[in-house]
Amino acid sequence: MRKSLLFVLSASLILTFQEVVISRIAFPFANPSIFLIFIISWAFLEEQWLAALQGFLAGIILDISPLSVGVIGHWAFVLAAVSYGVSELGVQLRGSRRSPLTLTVVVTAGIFFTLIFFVISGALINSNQGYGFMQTVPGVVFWSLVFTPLISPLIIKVKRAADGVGTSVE
Amino acid sequence: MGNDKARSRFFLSALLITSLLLITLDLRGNLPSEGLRKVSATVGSPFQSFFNSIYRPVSTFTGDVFSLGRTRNKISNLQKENSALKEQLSRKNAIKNEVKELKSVLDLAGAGRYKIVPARIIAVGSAASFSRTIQLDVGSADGIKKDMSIIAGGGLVARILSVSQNSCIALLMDDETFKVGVRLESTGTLGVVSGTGGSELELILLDSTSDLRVGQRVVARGSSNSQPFLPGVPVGVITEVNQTAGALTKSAVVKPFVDLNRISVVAVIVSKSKTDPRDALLPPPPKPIPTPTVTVFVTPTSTPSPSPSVSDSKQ
Repeated sequence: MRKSLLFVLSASLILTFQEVVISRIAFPFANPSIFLIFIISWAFLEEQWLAALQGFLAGIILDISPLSVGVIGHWAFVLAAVSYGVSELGVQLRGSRRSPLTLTVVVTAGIFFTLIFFVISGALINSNQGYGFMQTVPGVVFWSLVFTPLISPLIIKVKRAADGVGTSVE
Repeated sequence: MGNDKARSRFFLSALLITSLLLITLDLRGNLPSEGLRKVSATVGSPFQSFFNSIYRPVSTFTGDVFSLGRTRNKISNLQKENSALKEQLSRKNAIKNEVKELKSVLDLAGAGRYKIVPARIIAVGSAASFSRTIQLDVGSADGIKKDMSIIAGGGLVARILSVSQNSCIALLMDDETFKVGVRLESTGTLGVVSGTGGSELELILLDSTSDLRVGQRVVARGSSNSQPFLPGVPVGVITEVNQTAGALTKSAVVKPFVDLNRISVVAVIVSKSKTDPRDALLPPPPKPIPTPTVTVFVTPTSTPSPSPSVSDSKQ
């Protein structure tokens, strides 16, 4: 429970950092999504059911973010599903899940699928975040390739600390 | 293990169903989405302010770093555009000046009823040659002949020295070898103005007893057959009179009406008018500046009478 609380707190802070700092820097192509890198990385290192729950909570945070204009529940749906899938993959690759290269490849692929899934599900629920959002996908994926190796050691450390908290409580 | 997986899948399904329920509720308008976002904005605002205060000082730097390439391109494009505009503006200004000069020369020619050929100065004799000559873009093909007068808006400028098919060379009035017979405005006193190599000319009067004053204006007297000089063309104004006691001639310094270093458009007089314009071509005389006079009124007061001294009274 405390682990999830720490996750929610970290996710909220990272989302705020994303909205206040990262989004205001004019990166070429598109802005990197530090928030998604964090969520997918975390999910890759987490157990499936917890990954799904944390993905859902992260999605809710994103949905109710003041800067969000989409339908509430949309990001929760997408991130719960993707986090579960990524976690399932992490369990399969248990031996190399903390390797920076594996993490980078999985997170980049995870972000790509998240965005595609978001667009497709958005089209199904008649959300108007389609074509424009799609244009940013290559840029976001490119920056996740750049940023994941840089910030993954920090995410792994936070995750380990959270695991320590979690095991002592649960 | 199998139980865990089944439990995870069940949990995932529950979360997905919850999400779909939220989506449905929000789409139907049964979810206070705006209220929720307002609450999240209120909760998140202290964190936003914190990150903002950290980020603000470096925002300009990061903005500059990330837009370095674009900024450089933009600067380069703007510089190109700026230089093109500057060139356009200077060309426009040059044309404007030429039009102004041409208008004034046409006005002068019109007043004197001269037939003229407008010309543009295309070269100026170098200082190394010690001669003040100019090259014009008109020649014999335009009816230009040797010894014709050249005027600008203010008056006389030069005379033609040599002519080729499409250009001609003229001697400027301030050249030391240049001489023109002149007449003083109103008095009609005759004299000769010659160049000094500087910006002013020298006037020598033939009659040393004649009256010569600063401010008197000088016009060309006219040569025989009106070549090289036509009568009535304004030359300049006297700025200084040289008084030498016992000299046979009187001399003065004349400032030409035309600034010979700042002309670009001139006109060659190709045929004279039938009548002598006399002083009609001179610019209107400058209005005399009124001298301020001060009148002091003094009220006379009664003069005090001397009082008799004590010693006097004693006597």
